[in-house]
Amino acid sequence: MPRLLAFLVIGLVIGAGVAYAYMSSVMSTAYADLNTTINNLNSKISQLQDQINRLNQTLEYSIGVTLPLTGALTDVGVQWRTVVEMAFEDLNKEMQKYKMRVKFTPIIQDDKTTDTQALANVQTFHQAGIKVIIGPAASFQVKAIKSYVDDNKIVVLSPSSTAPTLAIPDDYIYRTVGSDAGQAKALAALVKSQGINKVIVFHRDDEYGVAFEDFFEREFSALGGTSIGMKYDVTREDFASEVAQLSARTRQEGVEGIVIITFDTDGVNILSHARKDSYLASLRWFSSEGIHGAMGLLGEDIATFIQKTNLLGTRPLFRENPLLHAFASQYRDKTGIDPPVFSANLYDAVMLAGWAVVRAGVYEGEAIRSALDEVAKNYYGVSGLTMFDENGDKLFQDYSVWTVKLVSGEYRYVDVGSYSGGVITLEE
Amino acid sequence: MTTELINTVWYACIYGLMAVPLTLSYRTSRVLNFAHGVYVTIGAYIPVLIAKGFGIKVSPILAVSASFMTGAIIAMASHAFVFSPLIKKKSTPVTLMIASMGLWIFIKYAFYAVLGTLQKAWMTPIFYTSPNLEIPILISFMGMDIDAKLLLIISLTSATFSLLAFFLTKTKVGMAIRAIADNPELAQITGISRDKTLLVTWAISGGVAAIGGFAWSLFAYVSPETGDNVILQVFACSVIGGLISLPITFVGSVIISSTENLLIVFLHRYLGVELSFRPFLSFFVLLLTILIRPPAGAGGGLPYRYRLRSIFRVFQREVKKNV
Repeated sequence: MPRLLAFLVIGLVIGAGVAYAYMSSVMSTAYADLNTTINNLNSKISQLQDQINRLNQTLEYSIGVTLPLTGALTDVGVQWRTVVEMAFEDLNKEMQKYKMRVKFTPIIQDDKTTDTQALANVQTFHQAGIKVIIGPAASFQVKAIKSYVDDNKIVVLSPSSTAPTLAIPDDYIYRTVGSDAGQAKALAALVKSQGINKVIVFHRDDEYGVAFEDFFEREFSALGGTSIGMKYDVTREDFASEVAQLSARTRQEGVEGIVIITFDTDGVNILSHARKDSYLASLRWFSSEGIHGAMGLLGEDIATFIQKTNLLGTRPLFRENPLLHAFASQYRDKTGIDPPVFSANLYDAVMLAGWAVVRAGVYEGEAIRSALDEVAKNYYGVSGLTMFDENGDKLFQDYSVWTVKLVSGEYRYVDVGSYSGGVITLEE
Repeated sequence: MTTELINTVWYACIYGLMAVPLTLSYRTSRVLNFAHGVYVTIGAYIPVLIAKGFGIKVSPILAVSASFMTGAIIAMASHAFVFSPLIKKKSTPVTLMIASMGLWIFIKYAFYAVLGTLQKAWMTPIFYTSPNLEIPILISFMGMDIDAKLLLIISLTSATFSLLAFFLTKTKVGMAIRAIADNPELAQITGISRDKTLLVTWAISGGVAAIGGFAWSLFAYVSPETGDNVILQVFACSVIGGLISLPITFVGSVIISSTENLLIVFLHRYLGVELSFRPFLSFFVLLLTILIRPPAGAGGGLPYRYRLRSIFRVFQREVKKNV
């Protein structure tokens, strides 16, 4: 009996030990599983928390802006800076209005109206991780940055580069303005409509001037006119000698009018010398958009010359757009002057860039480029319908006819007509 | 050809007013001053700022005086705060030249900032403009209508150079400046304070360069880049003057001006050379000058007048020998 009891006790002890060992192994597996589950839940909670935080946070995107604040385009460049500030302010207000927690910040750099500085700015933006850039202004600058932005997939929206030679499909360059192929047609029609059959085109010796002159000559010849090109070196500060040669050439060729393809500072300088030449003052003068907005044209001496020679110019603008009038009035309130040329295109470039980033969802060049095409198709801005053509240039571009006139005792830029469907319509 | 001749006169006067003070400052201080262009720009802008700021038409006398004073003050400050400390530390000419480049960029962008602020405050464009001056367009003289600004620039150039010649040759300070320029060590032994003399030289150089800027504003529009855009031509004129001789620097201005306005037109009309070759011609003249007759000052040699004297002495010796 005692032996049986002893066996029973030993059996119980062994059984309890085995049972404990078994139970503890089962329990530890269960405990480990529970721990894993708790950890997983914790990590999911923290992910959700991150997402909630992110949704509550405002995402900040920087957009690079390269403007000609100094150099040949300084006069309008400084005015464009105000347009950029207005556009970013309005873009951020729109984001708030639609409850989007996104904020855009402009990083404005001066490109000195040079190609080298424009490229340096773009490289700086790239190093800072910026994928969308507004500007540069001039075609020769856009040409200089083209391969760099294409290689690095940076979306560029130039509001004022118009050279037809830069109308290239499938690149990263977009232009919120029509190419000069269209404006050359409008200007040729304007000159012809004034009964002028033979002109000298006095133009910049750069990407913009040479291409414009080439297209103008084609269009003007097609209308039965004769156009003679005369280029000038753009690196000079003063063009007195070139104007003297222009005077000699106009007499020699017996032309009836002069077409100038200039930027603002060179254009003002040319007119300031031309006004002293009685023969040049006896001819009709025409201009592209390049000089529009230059304050020098509103001074008494040059404005008088403009009136005497009945200078008319073309510029890309959809005049009948009510949004444009509201924008112009807002700009006037801020600065006391009318918005210069390409202001509408610049304003829309900022808007399109912002909405393309939002639509893309990721801050990557390729995605933004795809989104930009889509956004532009559905966006109606200060410059009208913003849709791009296959080259990334504004598809629907209207042109207005401008001059300088005395309005309420002061000289101002005034739009006096428009170009549509090959026909120039001038107001009385 | 009349227009080209008139342009030549304009440019000769403008380049002369800008280049002669550059030569004066170099030959006295041995600083090849790249900030010279900003004195020109500021001088060009002073009448613009007076006219826009006060809403008045500025008389030419006020414009010239204000431009001179401002240019002189900025040049004196350049000397006092930058060049003088470096000269005292016995810095090399290369260091001084690099310092002048830094000064040039600093003043230029500070000036841009000032103009930007003023444009915003006054709500009036000032980045590419011209001064509102009290000058008639034409003046009738013996039945002929003459451009009043052309007459003014000729008078201004003649008056400035006559006063400068009088100051340098007839006054004590002027003679001290020439003494320092010719032999600084000897001049200092005779009791001339080099630092004070240099300060006066900088004042005159900056002031006259600023008058050059005002002269430019009579001819064409001014921008914050005005001085920079003409500085290479101005250096060319000074190099022709050997960076030493003031009269030959003015001759250099006439040469560069004629090259840019007459020679290029001649080549354009008769040989079909493009007008854009104009800078090429100016700098071809500059290169020729450097190769044929290197600037005495830059090469560390003697001023032209000493060269001529030594040639004259050799000639006298030869004559004596033969006699």
